Amino acid sequence: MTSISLYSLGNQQADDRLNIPKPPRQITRNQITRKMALLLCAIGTLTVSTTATAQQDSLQMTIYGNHQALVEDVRTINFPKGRSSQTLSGVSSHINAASVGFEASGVDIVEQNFDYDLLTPNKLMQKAVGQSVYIVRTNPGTGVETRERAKILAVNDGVVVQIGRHIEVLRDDQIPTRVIFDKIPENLRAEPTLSIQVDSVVAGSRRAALSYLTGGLSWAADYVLNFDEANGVMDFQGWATIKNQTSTNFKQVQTSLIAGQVGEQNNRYNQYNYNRGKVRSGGTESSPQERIGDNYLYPLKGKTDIAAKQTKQISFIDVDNAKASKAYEYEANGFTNIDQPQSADVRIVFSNSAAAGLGQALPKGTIRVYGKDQNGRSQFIGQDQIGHVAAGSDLAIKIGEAFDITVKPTVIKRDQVSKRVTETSMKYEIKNAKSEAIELTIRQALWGWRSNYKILTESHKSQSPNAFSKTWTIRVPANGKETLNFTIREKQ
Amino acid sequence: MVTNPIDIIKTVAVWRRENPVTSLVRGLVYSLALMLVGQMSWAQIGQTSFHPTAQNNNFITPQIKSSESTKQALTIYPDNLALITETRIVNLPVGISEIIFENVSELAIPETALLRGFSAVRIERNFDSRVLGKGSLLADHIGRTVKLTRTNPKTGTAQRVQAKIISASQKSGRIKGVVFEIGGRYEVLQCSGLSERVQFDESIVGQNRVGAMPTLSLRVRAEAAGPQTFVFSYLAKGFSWAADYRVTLGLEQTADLFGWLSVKNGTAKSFKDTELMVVAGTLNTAGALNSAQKQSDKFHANCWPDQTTKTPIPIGGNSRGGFTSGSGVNISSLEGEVPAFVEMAMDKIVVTASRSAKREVKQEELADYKLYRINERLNMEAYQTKQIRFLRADAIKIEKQFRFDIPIWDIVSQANSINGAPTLHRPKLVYEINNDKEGKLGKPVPAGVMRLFEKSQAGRRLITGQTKIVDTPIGEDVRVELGPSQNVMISSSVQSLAKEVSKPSSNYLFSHKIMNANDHAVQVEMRIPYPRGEKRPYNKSKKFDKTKGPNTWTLTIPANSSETLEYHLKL
Repeated sequence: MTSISLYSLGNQQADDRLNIPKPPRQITRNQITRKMALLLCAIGTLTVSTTATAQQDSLQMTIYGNHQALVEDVRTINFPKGRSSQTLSGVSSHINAASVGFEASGVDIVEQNFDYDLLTPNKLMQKAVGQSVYIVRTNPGTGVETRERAKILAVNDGVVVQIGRHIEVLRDDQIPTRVIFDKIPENLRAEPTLSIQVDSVVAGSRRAALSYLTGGLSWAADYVLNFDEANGVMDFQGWATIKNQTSTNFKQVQTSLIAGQVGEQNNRYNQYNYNRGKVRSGGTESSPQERIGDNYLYPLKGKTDIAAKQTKQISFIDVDNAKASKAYEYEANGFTNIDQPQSADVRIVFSNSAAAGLGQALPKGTIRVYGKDQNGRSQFIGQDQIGHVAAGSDLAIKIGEAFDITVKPTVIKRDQVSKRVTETSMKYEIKNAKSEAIELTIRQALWGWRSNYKILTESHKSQSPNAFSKTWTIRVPANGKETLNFTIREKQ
Repeated sequence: MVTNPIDIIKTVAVWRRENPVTSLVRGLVYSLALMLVGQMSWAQIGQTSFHPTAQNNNFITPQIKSSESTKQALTIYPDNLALITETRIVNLPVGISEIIFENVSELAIPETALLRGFSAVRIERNFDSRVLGKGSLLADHIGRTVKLTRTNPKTGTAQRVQAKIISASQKSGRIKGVVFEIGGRYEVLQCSGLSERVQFDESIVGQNRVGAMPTLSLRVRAEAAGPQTFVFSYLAKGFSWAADYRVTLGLEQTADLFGWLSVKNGTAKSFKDTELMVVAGTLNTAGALNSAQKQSDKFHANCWPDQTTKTPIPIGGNSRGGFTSGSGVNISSLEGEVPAFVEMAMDKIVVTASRSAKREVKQEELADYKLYRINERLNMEAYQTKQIRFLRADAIKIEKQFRFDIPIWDIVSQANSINGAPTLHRPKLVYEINNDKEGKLGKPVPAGVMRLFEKSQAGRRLITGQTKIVDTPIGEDVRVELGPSQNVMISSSVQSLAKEVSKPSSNYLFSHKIMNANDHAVQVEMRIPYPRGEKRPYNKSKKFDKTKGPNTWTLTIPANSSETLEYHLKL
């Protein structure tokens, strides 16, 4: 199957180069076909032309998160015996022409072209070079119209035309001049069209499978987290948001979404870890979705129309009363004095394990958090971005900074004990203006290459999650303050 | 619990494709299935689509337009974001119908739309961000015949022809010129220099749901006819608010403080009789938050080269679309320097304050932020900035002092270059407003611009300083850092402590002479900032003031006199 080989084509293809116009204009296509047919009849019957728009049997689309999709388009085409030219319209305007595969039994592809020359006034004129047009000039003094036959000689720096035995530049005199074209060139199209020259062994109707990669189609997850702080629970909904940025209307599409990174191994721009600091422990649970390769497949049931420039949302997770809590954190990088007290980070802590109520992998996307105000109205209280998160992971997404919880770091003392040993005394003043007690975790990042750290004295018990950080979890009373003091020895 | 709204959609989609007559029986069966999921929670709409281009429907669905909200609520966040909640009542017929909610903000972020439960079954949701314009009119007429009128510039005769639009090719959201078929030949739009006018049939406007503003539309299926209440909310860009404070300094370290909320609607949508709230604090906005582009299909004539042997002719007016974004209002202008009109508006509001005495701003808690609720409904017009007083405190305690971070290395390098002459610095003027719970202020103070006023001898109130402040909770002093002082100067010098040239030393004597040109005593805080000062000063002429932090001296300089601070430091 051609589609398998398409995966290796990578994702660089998804660009805007092939950003092509609005969809079908039946008339134009028919006219072109009619003209082509006439022309071909006159020449003889070496090649027969047909359009393959007659019947589209099925359209399947697999959308990836990185602005590309695999389209599998099955059509019934009546192939004449021998060579014929098939015009396949209604393909994506962002098609990656190099990825096109076309399969039908007993049919060989001789040549394939993707025409994306737009029918615009400028193109129309450029393609008319060497041909004759009518020009109609309106005399500004008398209002009299003169109609003349002119031959287009060149369209570069102005349009150079030959009228009778003179050569001049169109509208050089600034006199209003209409240009009337006799015809429209065949390869200028009002919609993206793929044309394929095939050689068929026998005549007759057969199914042909067209497959290609296209840019301009993408999806991401949008999550709604309704946080009920008082009860320590949340309602969690996941929406797959499909964006069609192409100018093609896809009708009756069987759609699948792939969550994961496909074909991005060599793209360093995609190595950014969106889960940094947010996923606190990775999960080991499988998600109920079908797995393909290292990724999850989200098939959408039924067929959908994906219209041009459309954003479509489909629900894929909906969980009520899953466990969730809030945590305050402050991250200190190095030992510094900060005059202005700093706000602590607010995080929503939850797990997407089955035990906590979610039990599903979370594809890359944005989590928007809503909380209730005193009138019971839902208010937006912040959002965070996640990468793909395996089921069973512990998450701590940052939604904002607490207005009422501040931390003021002060360097009390910094003594150079010996050439390689420094002792630093730090003070973190934590103030809580809330009417309830809180717990704040201070994370002291210890940035010292080839340094060893040892806590000499501390006012609260520290933990050492790794060699380069210490954490303290401190309880601060309602409308109160608490001070963390410690002295740390650094040996280089 | 994982439900399966996708199944429902499938059902509906199949039903839609069938002949309406044969599907009637089937419809009954499906309606049973649909009723089962009638109690879906408020965000489960099943399938949502926002698409700027209209789709062809197989059968005609009754369209019900709703342009007015019965209730509106607007929550404005500091940084170009708002949550809009609208309640609308729509009279629904039985069966499938399409409700078109007009007047949705043009800067809505489509993927954030949420809908609360109601008893009709939702089928599909669309967000049409396309608006009526030259480009969209042309694009919607591809394959149709329009009237093309050309007026002779001399005789004034209008020549009207039937023209079929065969191409209005789109690329990157632009119409790249229009090609007509006129009497079997081909012509283009607006490349001739003639006056050309295209007339469209009026029916198109209603058909394609293209209006002056974007619409949110919903396909629903109602079991019974009657009015239904829809509550939908979405995030939108184009809104902003800022706090402005006016502090009038009084006698004996007291001042009066006024706080104003400047709320700005930078969008084309007007809000009548709306609830208004603002949220203070820092919200994380990492991730997708892109407002839908108002799709106007800009028109570009895309003509052939028009260079001539003389001066180039501009294709008058047609080469660019006439559309400018509604977001053209500079929202950031609310930050930092607030324009002069704020001052004027303040006085105006003060005058009318007695009349609107009932208007109050109540502060409440929202998660870890502060929510300010305006107690009465008000109108928020398009592109309007509104100012509402939200904070007032009289006789607050304010402490004036001067702060100086001693720039050790600057002093050393200047001493080196100016031949030992003392270097002159000016300390920073800092006001600290007491915000203890028991104090006169004792309220959360959102970030904003603070202006200080003093009364002149003639009794005029003059502005003496203006600066930004940060979010300040209760219990934390509000720090108002102004620029360098005009009347307090610090002259610094450095002397080597080496006794002989043969015995170089890295110990130096620093001395700072603080001169007060004011007719009153001032407090100056002198500090050697870390991390440079890893060596501690010794032989100090005055002890550190431990209450103010490490390596800090507090000096009181009497009126019109000076004091000197000296210490030794190893560099």
